[in-house]
Amino acid sequence: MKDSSDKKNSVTETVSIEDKLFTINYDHNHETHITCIGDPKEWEVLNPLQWTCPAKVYTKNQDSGNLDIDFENCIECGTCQILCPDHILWVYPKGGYGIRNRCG
Amino acid sequence: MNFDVIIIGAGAAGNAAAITLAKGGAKVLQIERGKFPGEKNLMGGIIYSSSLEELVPDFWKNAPIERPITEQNYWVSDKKTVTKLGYSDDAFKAKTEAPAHAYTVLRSEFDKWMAGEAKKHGAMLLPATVVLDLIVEEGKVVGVVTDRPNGEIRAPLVISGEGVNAFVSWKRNFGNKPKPDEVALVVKEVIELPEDVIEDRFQISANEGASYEIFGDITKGCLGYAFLYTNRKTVSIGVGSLVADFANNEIASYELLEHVKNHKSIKPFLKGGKTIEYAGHLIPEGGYKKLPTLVADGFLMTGDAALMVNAVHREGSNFAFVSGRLAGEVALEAIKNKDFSSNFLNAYRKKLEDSFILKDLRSYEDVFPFFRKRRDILNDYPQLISYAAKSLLTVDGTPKGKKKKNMVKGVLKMKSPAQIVKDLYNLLKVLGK
Repeated sequence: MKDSSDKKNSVTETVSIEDKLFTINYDHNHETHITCIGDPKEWEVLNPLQWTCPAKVYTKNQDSGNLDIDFENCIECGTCQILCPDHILWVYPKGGYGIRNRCG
Repeated sequence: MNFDVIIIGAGAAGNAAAITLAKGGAKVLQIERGKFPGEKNLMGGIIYSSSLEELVPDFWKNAPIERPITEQNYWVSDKKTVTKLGYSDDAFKAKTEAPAHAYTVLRSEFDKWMAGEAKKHGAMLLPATVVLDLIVEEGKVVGVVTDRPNGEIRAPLVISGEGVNAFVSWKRNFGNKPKPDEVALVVKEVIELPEDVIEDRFQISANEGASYEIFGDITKGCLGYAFLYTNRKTVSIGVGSLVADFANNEIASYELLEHVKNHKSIKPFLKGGKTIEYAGHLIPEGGYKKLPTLVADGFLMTGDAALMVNAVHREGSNFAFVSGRLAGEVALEAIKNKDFSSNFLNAYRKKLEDSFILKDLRSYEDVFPFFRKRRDILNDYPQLISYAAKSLLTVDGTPKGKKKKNMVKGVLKMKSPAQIVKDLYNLLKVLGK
């Protein structure tokens, strides 16, 4: 499984995604709104989510090899369910929770 | 309480429908998933005055607008070069008792203000509430199911202003989830800079603003472009491409944004600025061929949920304002006639067809499929433009006549004359429709 650090087209990163996410205002209710559907063995197809998700919600767990889902990073764009409609069930967080854009 | 209409969403389209309906005296309930309207919303972003004036005639006096856009710039980037074209026009400026042609806005504040306009006319807002499904009885939409306890709310008409992720509509097969090459992901940062620094760097005065759209190598082969817009005390910088391109090219959008920010022609604009917010959003780009059911019994679709976007011209908010307004106008007639059948509501489609909305979507229906098939055009021609400009502009003792000949020779080595003519013909064919 490819890690986001060994992508073939890595471009220079000066401000990390972690720093970017730090600028976002969230109001969490700590209930996940993202679920993987189907057989974990088929989750190879989810690999592109590691670099396509703009909030780095999906990362490969180095120990278990499974995909970790940091749903609290989610900026609610919906990219994951467009890219993997058969494997990712992504719904809106409960009303009033999740991101709260100050600028938008 | 009884409502004439339920509107899903308090974004550009939902607010436009709510203002129109509330002004007309209808009992409107607007349901919004954010604690406040606007906090889930995002765009580049630019609004066009003509489409907003129809809803709020003197909006520019009170609305939280940032800067008028009085100068528009288009850059074509190659690996190490940039070719620049700009258009500045005093006609784009605000005049006494007339707004400027377009303004930058930050959607969080802007949408809150716009929803407030609907409220002023009597619309009721239910915030912090997600609509989970439609209530459909005997083939007619008669209300919504929300995530509130006992969350069913009924009304004879529901207007979807759900936005790009139109889950409720998709669930009932009013439109389909787009494919990864039919939707663009845009990431953006709002960067804070002192007002006078912005005005110095962008060479604008207090009542002016500039937009930059940058094509070519800057997107690393992804179909899309980068943008830079001036706000009052911030600038918005972002980059967008098809979800499929980020996935297939193995490029992280946030890293591409860093690449854009560090581009030699962009960096000086941003120097010393502080990022106050990072955000990302999808834009539906399926266009006319993928248009969903716009009308059903007791149901109308507006804005992004209805794919009303012309990405080539960065237009979306005006499509949302106008489609929301037209849906509102038809809904008022439906309420008056107590007829919510698709037959009656089809007047909405007719109004869309008579407006620029479906005319533009139809005339651009082949543009995106063309570029999707011919990504090479956006890679090769910037190189060609760069080469041509360099050949002509380098002063090295070569006589101009010879230079021009060399330039033509060099360009034709990169692309055969037949290929250039063919590409131009095809491009003009899809654009000239």
